[in-house]
Amino acid sequence: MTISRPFMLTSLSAALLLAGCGGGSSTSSSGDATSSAAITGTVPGTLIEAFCSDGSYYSTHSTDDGSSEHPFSLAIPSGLNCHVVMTTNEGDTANRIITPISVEYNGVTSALINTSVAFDFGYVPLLTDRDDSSFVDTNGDGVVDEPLVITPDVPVGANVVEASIDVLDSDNDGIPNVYEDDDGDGEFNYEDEDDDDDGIDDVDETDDNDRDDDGVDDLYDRDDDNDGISDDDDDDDDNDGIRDEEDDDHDDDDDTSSDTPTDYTPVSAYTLTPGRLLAAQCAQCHGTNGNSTNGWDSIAGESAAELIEEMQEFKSGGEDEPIMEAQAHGYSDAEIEALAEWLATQSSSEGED
Amino acid sequence: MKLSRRTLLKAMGLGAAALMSPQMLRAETLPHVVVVGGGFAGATAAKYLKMWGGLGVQVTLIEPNETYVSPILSNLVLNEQKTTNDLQFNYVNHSTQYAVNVVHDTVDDIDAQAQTLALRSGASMQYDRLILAPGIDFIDITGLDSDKVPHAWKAGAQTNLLKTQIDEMVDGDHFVMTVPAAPYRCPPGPYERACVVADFLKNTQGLVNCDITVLDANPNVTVERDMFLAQFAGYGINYRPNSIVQKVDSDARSVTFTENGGVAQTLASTVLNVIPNQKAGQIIFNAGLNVSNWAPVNPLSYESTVKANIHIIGDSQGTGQPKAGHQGNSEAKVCADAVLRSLQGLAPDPAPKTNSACYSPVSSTHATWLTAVYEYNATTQQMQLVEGAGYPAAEEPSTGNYSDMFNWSGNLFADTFA
Repeated sequence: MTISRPFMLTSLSAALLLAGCGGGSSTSSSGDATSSAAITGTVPGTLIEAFCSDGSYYSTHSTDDGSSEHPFSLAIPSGLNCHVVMTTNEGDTANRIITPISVEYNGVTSALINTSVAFDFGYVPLLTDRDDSSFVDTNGDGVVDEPLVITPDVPVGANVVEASIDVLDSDNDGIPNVYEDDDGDGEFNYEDEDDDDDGIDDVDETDDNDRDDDGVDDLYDRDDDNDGISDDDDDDDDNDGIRDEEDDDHDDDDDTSSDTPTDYTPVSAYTLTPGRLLAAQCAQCHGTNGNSTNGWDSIAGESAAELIEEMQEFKSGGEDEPIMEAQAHGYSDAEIEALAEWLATQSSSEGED
Repeated sequence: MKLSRRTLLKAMGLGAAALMSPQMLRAETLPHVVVVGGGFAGATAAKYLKMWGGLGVQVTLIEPNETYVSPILSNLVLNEQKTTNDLQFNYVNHSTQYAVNVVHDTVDDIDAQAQTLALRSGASMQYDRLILAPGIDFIDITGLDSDKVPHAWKAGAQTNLLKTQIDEMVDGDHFVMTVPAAPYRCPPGPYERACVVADFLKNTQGLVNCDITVLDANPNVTVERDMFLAQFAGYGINYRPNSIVQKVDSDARSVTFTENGGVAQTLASTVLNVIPNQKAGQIIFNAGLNVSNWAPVNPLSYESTVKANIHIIGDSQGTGQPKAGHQGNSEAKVCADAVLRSLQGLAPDPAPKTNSACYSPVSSTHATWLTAVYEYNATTQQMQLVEGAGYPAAEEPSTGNYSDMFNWSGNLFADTFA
């Protein structure tokens, strides 16, 4: 059961308040964010959008104050990971330049930012002319090929987040999914009824992982059809008029294949193999995900067969390692296999230092 | 009429996005898990919730202090092998590496019905799941002023206070410490401390005529009995079991106690280290989550058996598993997994395992260890020692164990705070 409730956090609610020298910019936001924090900055005349990890969307325009650096302010929720995209010449499809923003801070460069405080972007040097020599757009869709990396002062409470799974940017290229054009037909996926140009409408696809084109992978989207009703409460997740229980291609388990409609398949961020939780119990001594930080063995990056063999050796007492002998006795053969198989999927950090 | 965002965007064009009404774009709100307490259990829970839950969950860690001093290894401050600075950790990695919302505040009130917290700063916060990891609190002892007679059982200023007092000892002085009745935080810890202090006084300071007395509320050494009793004999420590503290004179540094149920007697000391009996953190009592001194939980999820959607991990929980940092880290992972499952409507793992390990120094060169693995018994609905795994311990203290101790603690610290 997912409890659907606005994230209300009076004193902490974050606002990505892209606020500059004042002035009445129009702001629309989809959330209940209370602005107590701010990101300030200036840009050329621009549409500023934020795409946040709960699927919410915020946008505003910068305010033309007569200068070349227009102030802007945009409220977003506190503590949520968001992508920020800035578009110049937004009304002019042939000339608009869409620039996803990345922030470099503390050696980390990521397009995901997260703030619960005022965050001043400073001046963001967006391009306004496609003829500019630094404008690189291989497929001509108006989206720059690489995010613009800015290096503002990042205040305490704001962060640049390196996420292993970014539901808003499935290929982790810094360009949010909404501004990808999978089939290269000149329509962004969010505009495109048929993302892969196979003649089947996205909502009827079984191989489209974002059927409502809201930029959030369906596996993580608690409202697959964007009708405002959580899938858990929505009897018709894809809004096709067929109730989920009678609908072969949509069910509450987010499984788009029709052969397992009754089993709940958890989203991949919640991979629930028993091996992961069991293997996490090795981490106290062998490091997070099996990567030791010191002279004790790392157990990531070994094959499952190797790990199983070692554990069975310990169990048999043949290794003269009393602690590991005791630990090995604590796990059944099936459990040892499960945790070994999970650990074998983990990359080893050895050799990096 | 239902309006999908796609329809709107198509109808209005990208430039019109700013005109859309908020409700039309309203997305689902991420589930919010709040962790209270940034010790080994709470810090681990917050990290693993985000590591496993990713962007699908919002996690807030509420901890009053910006830095945390590990009680693990803190007896090594007393013999100058470590300083409290060496044992200090913070929550920057939680914030920057895992996008945990770290809030330095104190929870004053929990409304379990409304699922809201009242914070001391005046803010309120809603939660979908609440994980409490408040550690231990002490049961009052008549006359005890811990600013004069330290417990040094929460690391930091208390550790340094005891260290200062020990440093002031001269030959012939008397160090007296009391061991609380089980269950208490870190089962081998008091016995370890007696050994470390004895070694420091006699071998480092050369105060060979100092007396050391251990007044133990328990009928015998609670863990690694033979090993510790042998160490006590070697150091000439006066070990007195079944000694129940009645009151303390904090200025005179004297303790009044009964031994084996006899009449009260008073013992004078030069340095007195009273570790009081323990109970769950105060917030557990304020929220009505306790039965007697601890918080009963379902060990599959660590959810309170008293109130829904509130989980208790670490020293305050009442499963009977040992109260210690390694164990709290272990419980936190089971809890984090169960919470993430429950947010997806899934049942917790039916067969979780936890484990405990602890290295104990007995001098500035030698250490011992003990370890255990716990499994869920579906009949008793409690955790129990895995049959056959026993509860082994090092046969005797060694220098190899002493260096292993830092590998163990190093990875445990990193798994919790890095």
